[in-house]
Parts: sequence; C-alpha cells; structure tokens
Amino acid sequence: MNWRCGFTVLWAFALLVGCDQSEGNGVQKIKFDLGRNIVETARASGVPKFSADNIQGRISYSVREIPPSIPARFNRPGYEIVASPLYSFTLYADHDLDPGDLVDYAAVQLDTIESHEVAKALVEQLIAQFVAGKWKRHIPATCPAIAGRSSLLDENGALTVEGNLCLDPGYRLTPEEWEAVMARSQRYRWRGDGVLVDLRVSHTTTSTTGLIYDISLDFRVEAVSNQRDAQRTADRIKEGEAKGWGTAAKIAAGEKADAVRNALLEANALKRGDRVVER
Amino acid sequence: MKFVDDIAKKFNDLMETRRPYMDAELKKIQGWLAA
Repeated sequence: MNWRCGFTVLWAFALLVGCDQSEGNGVQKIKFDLGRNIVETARASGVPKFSADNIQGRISYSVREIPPSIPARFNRPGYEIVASPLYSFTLYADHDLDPGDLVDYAAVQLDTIESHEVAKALVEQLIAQFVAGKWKRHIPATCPAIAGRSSLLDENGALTVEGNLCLDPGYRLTPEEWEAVMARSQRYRWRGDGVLVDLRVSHTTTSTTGLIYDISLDFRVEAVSNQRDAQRTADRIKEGEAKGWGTAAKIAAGEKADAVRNALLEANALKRGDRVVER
Repeated sequence: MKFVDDIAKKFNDLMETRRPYMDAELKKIQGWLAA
C-alpha cells in the first residue's frame, strides 16, 4: 500500500485515481467528517485504498491495518478529535435514506491495547479533546443527569459493575475503579453540531490473548440516528401489538421506571455532594 | 482478532439499517445449518 502518493478507490461502479498534494509529504492523517457524499469523503480522507461494499444500498468504505503513525481526525472546526493508534476506519452511507450517499456514520476502531494504564491514559486523552472542543455531554432519557462519582453508583450507593453505565466523562476513575468498570462494555457519549459520538471501551482477558482492550469511536449524524431509533421502536411496537405482547404498554412502563430510578439516583447524588447537570 | 470486531460492528449496523434483509439472510443460514 503506497501511502505517500497515489490514492485509489475501487468500487463496483467507479475507479478514481489522484495524488495527495499535502506539501509533497504524503498522507499524515485520515481526515473525515459526516454529511458529505461518501465518495468525496473517501477521496478527501487521504486513504490510498478503501475496500468498498454495498449491501442493499447500505454503502461502506473501510480500511484496516493502518500504520500506527497515522491517526484519524474528525475535521469539523471546533469539534476536532484526533485518535490513534488505529486498527480500522469505516465510512457508511445509506442510499435509501439519501440518494446523495451522504456519510451518516464513521467508525474508528483503535488498535489493541494490552495495558490498563495505557488504555486509561489514551481514553483520558480522548476525553480531554472532547472537553476542549464545543462538544456537550450527551445524557439520554434512560440515564440520570449526574456529574461525579455518583455516576458509577447504583440505588444503594454501591459500585455495581454493569455494562452501559451512564459515566460522567468529567469524573476521573481511580485505577481500581477503571479496571472494574471497564471489564464490561462502557461508553462515554457526546453531542455537538448535529453529531453524536460514542467512545466505547471494554477489556477482556483470556488464557491465549491475555489482556485486550477494545476502544472505538462511533460518529453518527444525530438526526439519522434518532430517525432510526424511532423507526426501530415503531417496528417493535407494531410486531409486539400484532402478537398480543402488549409492547407499547411495556415500553411506557419501562420509561416510567427509568424516570423514577433516575430521580432517586439524582437525589442520592445531591446528598453526596455531587451535581445534577442539564441534559 | 481485531477484524472480528469490525465484522461485528458491520453486522450490528446492518441489523439496525437493513433488518428485513438480515432476517431473511439469517433464516437462509439457519436453513443450511438444519439441512
């Protein structure tokens, strides 16, 4: 793969060849944003060769085994995020949603990290970039709007290790909390300028692989993501009602239970001296 | 094994965006396994 000069996108219907003109020094980073045509985004990224796929109009351009010196950079002014070392980078567009094939999702998969300390430092460095930019913490309705250590705790004030905790990125985990919490899949969430980002972290340990961290960043167009969530819920209700499962009522009951639980968690957080923040 | 993560992400994306197609494909695979 020639990263210095020469950029080729192979796709079922097009072949484009160009040269990176960045000061004659070749590709130094993978640049991307959402909301533009996927071919244009791929061309502008600097990646010399993508593997392209089109499944029923769901288009993807992906590249793996990226040299460790090359980061990915979300390029939107005020919202820049740089991530490395990379394993893979994938762009997605949906032709059914928009015939312009606009990128609605970019998946940045970091390379394997085999140390708690290195993973923690890397994630904290990424969080610092979000804090430094115009991003706002994304707190969905299922989550209590808590800042501080209370974001780790359950109704009894215990650190119960579950997946998908509503972690406060402003709270710096101790090394012990980090190892415990990240044993389950967790995510930090931000939104800004119509983009949602999930920073996903988890680790596993096996006798053959040892300790392995999976860290990834998912950038999504918020409007498209919300539209898909709403459609999924509507489809679920339609199927459930048709089969007599009372799905609509169960969903409503679940939302009410979340609201009650969140109110309790927020009240407990305030008693501990932690904060309840704006959504 | 990192490529398995990529495959899983793509699978999840297709389940979210192309559910009817994926259900049909999974039923086909189920048929092969049952044969």
